[in-house]
Amino acid sequence: MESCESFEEQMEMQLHGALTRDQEDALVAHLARCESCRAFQDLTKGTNTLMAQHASMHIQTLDWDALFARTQAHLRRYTREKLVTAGVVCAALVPMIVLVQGHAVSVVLTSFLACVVALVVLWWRSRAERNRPTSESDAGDLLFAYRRLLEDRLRRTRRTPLVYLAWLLAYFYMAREQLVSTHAWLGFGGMACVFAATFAYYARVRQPQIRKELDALKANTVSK
Amino acid sequence: MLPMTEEAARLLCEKARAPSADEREKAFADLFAAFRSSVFALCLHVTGGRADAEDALQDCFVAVYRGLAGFRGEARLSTWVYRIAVRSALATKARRPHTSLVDGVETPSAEAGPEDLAASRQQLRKLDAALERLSSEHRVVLSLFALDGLDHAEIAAILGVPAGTVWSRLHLARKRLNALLAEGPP
Repeated sequence: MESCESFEEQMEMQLHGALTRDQEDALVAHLARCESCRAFQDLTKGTNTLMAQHASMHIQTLDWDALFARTQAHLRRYTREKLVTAGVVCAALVPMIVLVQGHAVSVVLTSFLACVVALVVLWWRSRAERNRPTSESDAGDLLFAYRRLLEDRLRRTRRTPLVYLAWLLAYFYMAREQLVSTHAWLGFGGMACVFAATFAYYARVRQPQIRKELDALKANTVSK
Repeated sequence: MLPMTEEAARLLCEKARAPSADEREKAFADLFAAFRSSVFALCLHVTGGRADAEDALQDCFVAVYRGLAGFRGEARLSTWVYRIAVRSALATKARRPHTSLVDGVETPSAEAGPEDLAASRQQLRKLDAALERLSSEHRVVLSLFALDGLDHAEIAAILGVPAGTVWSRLHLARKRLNALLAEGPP
């Protein structure tokens, strides 16, 4: 004989049309004699109705045109952010190239090289983003995939400033003999400022954001 | 009712890959119109507040726009959109302090009086407090089943778990929610 627990699960299946005729008959017969299951079913139906009514109340009063306009503005902001990233990478590269090559390097060549590297950085970043758990071919549990993604992101934000620091130190070592003129020190100072800004952004903004998101998910993922 | 048929989804994906920016914009507008209500309802129940749901909806559609041209049709379009919506809603919820479901609720109907409004607010407040105490996976599964037109097979595909797991997860979520509703606010 089936338990109330099993009939409770079948109530959900009945509400969504996933029961066979025999199962449905058994459920109806059980409900006729079990008061606690009837109470459970009433509460379930009431909660479903309340959730649906509540959502439809909001949906009816939303200004969809304004929300669509805001979404488009959000999209434009995202594109601008990509351009700013490219600009920051270029700004970091130009003084570095000038520092290494000295006065001999032309402005055109410097800018060209900076743009090429900026494009590579953007391509690499967008490639990393494609691995998010929203890929259509990703068959894993969405919540656990999301948690893995956040953990990867956190690791990346810890690693990236170190990569920049290594880059800065490597160029300092390579160009140490040229660090006698004002222009060389200005170039190096520019690179150091970009590094400091990147480090501060990751340490003060991105890492706490990701950690908060991860903590919220970890605290809530496992069913209690 | 499903927001979009398979054929309409295929045509829309073709338009999203069109070389003309106007056609791509049009495809995005059509996709927004088709999924906006269900994505909003899902985000509303997962985040627990109207403003957060609006933000999550924007994040979701920005991610959809970025990924639409590369969508290969291996999964149903709706499955893919809802997976993004769940992730956006969870991310928004983690970033913000709790906001109430009751915020911005108007009179339930034109004829409803002050008593009806008070009762509705009271019920919503109870539901809000109970949903807030549920785990993410329980809140997400309840929110998905509260949407019109999603069958358990599609919900299983959205969550990336077997169909049997969806039923047991829903049952545990429901039991927990009903127990919380019965015991009242903490």
